[in-house]
Amino acid sequence: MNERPGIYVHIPFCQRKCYYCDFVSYPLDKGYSDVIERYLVALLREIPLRRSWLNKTQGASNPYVFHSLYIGGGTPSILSVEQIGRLMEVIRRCLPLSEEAEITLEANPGTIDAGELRGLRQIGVNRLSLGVQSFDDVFLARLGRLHNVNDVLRVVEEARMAGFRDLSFDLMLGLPGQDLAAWQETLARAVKLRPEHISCYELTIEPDTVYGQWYRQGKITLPIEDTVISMLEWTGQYLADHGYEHYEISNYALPGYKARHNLIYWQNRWYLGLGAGAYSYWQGRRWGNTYQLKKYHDLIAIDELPEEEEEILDLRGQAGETMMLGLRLLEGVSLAEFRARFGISMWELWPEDIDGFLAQGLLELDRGRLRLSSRGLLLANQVLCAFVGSS
Amino acid sequence: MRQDKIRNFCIIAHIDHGKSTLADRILERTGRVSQRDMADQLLDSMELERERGITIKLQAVRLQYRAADGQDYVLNLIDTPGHVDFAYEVSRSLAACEGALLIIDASQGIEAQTLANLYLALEHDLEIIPIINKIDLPAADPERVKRELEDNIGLDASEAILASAKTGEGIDEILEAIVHRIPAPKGDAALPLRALIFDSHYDPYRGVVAYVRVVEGNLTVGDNILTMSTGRAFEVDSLGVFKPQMVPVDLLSAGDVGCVIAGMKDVKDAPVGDTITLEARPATTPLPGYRPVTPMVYCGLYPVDNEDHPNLRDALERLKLNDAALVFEPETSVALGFGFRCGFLGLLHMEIIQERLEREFELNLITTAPSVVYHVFKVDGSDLKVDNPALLPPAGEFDRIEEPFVRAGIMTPEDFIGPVMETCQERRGTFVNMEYVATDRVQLTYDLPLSEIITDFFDRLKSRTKGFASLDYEPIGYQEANLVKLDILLNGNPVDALSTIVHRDTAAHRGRLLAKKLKEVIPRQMFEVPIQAAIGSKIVARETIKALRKDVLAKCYGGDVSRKRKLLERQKEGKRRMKQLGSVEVPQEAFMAVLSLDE
Repeated sequence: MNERPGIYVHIPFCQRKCYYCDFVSYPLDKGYSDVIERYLVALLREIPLRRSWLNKTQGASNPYVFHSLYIGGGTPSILSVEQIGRLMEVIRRCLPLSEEAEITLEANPGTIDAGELRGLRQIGVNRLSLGVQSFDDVFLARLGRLHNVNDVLRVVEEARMAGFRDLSFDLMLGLPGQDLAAWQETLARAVKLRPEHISCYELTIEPDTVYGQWYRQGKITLPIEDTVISMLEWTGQYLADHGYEHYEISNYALPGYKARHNLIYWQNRWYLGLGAGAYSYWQGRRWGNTYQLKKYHDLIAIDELPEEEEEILDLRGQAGETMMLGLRLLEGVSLAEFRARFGISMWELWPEDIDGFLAQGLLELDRGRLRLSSRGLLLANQVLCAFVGSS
Repeated sequence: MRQDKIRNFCIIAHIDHGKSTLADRILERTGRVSQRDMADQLLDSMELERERGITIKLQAVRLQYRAADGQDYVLNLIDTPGHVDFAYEVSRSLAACEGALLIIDASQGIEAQTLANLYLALEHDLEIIPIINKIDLPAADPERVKRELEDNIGLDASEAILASAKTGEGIDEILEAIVHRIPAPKGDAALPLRALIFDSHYDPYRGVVAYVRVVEGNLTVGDNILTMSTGRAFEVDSLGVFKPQMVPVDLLSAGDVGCVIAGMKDVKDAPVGDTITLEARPATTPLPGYRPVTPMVYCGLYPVDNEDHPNLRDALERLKLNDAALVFEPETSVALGFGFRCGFLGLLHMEIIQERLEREFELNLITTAPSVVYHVFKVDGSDLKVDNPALLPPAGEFDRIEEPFVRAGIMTPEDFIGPVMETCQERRGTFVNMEYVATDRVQLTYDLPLSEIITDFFDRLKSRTKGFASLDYEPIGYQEANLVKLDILLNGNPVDALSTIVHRDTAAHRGRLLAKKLKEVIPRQMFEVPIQAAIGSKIVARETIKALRKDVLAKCYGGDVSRKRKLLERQKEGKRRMKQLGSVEVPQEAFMAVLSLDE
């Protein structure tokens, strides 16, 4: 199960913070190149530290080969190709990365040009995750995005020219002022460009964001629940009609193009996180690197892993998270794999809950797998919360 | 020790007027407690009491004081509870004293609660030492308080002591006044023993500890004693006084205050207000004033998880060991399953018990709305007491219902007379009297149904008088009223635990308000839930809780896993605190909704 772990690298910088975003990222002013270079140098020092840690944890005969590398943020495309190249070179040298690994770079359509795209392809990046969000310039501006629809059209074309065969779009629905027709338009224009993968996220208002503040002040209102449900239903139907498989609550892919890195999360497998604010999960232990840049630099400067918080999950905790994450996948969780992994049946752990959800039609059993029903998908939290915490 | 060197006194004060702090200062000054190891406000020993800043259980502390005249005195400070729920306990502790310190906040003046207890003290012929406290506050107006003392209570304001428990000002003067103004006890030690039990509590190691004031006679270790109301006999294992830790003594003599440990297993063996005498040489009559405690307010207590039922019973039994006023018996509710109908002295008593059950015994409880005891006269000539609205017989089976009434004293600044009267009128009050206690403050007297007081009456009173009104009340018996049962149906099923008994004239209106309120407090379920209010078979209100259709977190990535899990854990914890009624999950707030209906 865990023989195919992944690596996540966090680049916590953006040219500007989007109004809805509460991820770890620091907006940069002009003349920021020093800050980025300095961060990269620290990151390049963290990687060998993590290598030593891996040696100690697994012994010299580490059997694990990493099958995905995901460079996310923030805005990783704020790095130059040369910088990303150095990063990947050190990763490859220190950590066993498979030849066939999926190597994804998150990119903002406005921050990348044709030359850079060719360069990225040459150094081995084989998947781009584009923060497209909307095909309407008005909504893009309201979200605080720096790009416009033309940037998207251009970057997709240039990426194809550069040889990218795996593009993913992030799209947002349920935006203030967005109605079903507006969402349908965005979705249709996205599909026309035939990205291999589409993520459709409903906007969640996070308290510590500009949107959170506007929401409290009553400056923005969200579409009513019925509208959002229509959007979600339309999305499933429309994307299915155009060949996309709905494989996770918010994710759709053409055959063969599920996000391999993200599957690691949903299958609750192991991954190592590098960089400020990056999370790791390894052998039942989850930890987070400090998100404070100064602290990150200080720790790296004295050759210490920049870990700040950790959590050790017992087997039951791991089993619960496996359900909480795995049921997000439409294929659900395999009964046999669950038993093989935890040595106990899920029925023994949550007998009443599972039977109850089956009876309510929120869960269903299909070919040895337990999964959310189509109604259950919309009410996922009601189901998932049964598997977390103590019983 | 000679009787003329003993002074027994208590402190009368409104909540927040500084009783505990003043008691602390007195303890400090008499050297009993060092400031360092004194937890703040020593007399209030229970965690809950400290949190709420009120005294629930009274206790006694013995202080050694060398007065200005060079003589040593024993001062027994008897603490009194500060809430209307415990009026009887107050009267018993007053009966154990010869004098009382009357503490009045220099900026707030006399409150209804203080006044009621002061009248009790005067009835017991106690020497009153008025103390105007918190004179260090900028808003202090001692002259106004003095006028109130003279105009309203007829006390000599020139005798009032100005003090600040906070700064320590006036404490010496208070101690001297205790010695010189409060009379020494006068009981004859040669007479047969009569000792007043003014409090008792259960100690898991020593059994029941009864706090007594020996009025006449002598009590020694090894004596066989009788409690006069029960006629039960016990052998005295030990006697003690509190300094404030218990110190054993061999003898308690007329005038003394102390405690008795005599192998009693239950506080019912030492009822508050009862008289202890000697088996060998009994007194002929008990001390006056004993009455058994009767609960005024009842509610149902149910575990959210039915498996906790035995734990709830154990917990109630443990609390009862220490609380003679708490009564309970098993009860079943169609909606809530197995629980207990519990009787309390009042709402505060109820809340304290409920909180202790949840906090000390870690029980997750549903409490039904409090009810008074209705007296129902049936057409067949029989009658019954109903303490649970669900058990009211159908309308055709009785010809009248009586409900308990109280006489309420409400003290308010003159400006708020209108709003107070309005509030009383809305709550079916009958005006009795209005009296100026100072030029700008008024005591209003109303007769009100107790059932109206145990809803949000006091909160409303407070909010309509900007927090200035104070309330005190005493039961005045039963009166007939035109009452009906208001039922609530969830998803078409009547929920017995949500039934209430209300006045017919306001029943439909209350039904509408209640249905609306329930719609707010019951979260959306995975199906539509109709809420109906009914009087008999007539539906008077209907609301619908729309079905929950969507509840899903958008993304869940590596860094989010813990965070998202914690969100889900919180959601699960919320569900766990709800009671499953049929297929509807109902939070505790729903059962209390009836208490705070917005007009």
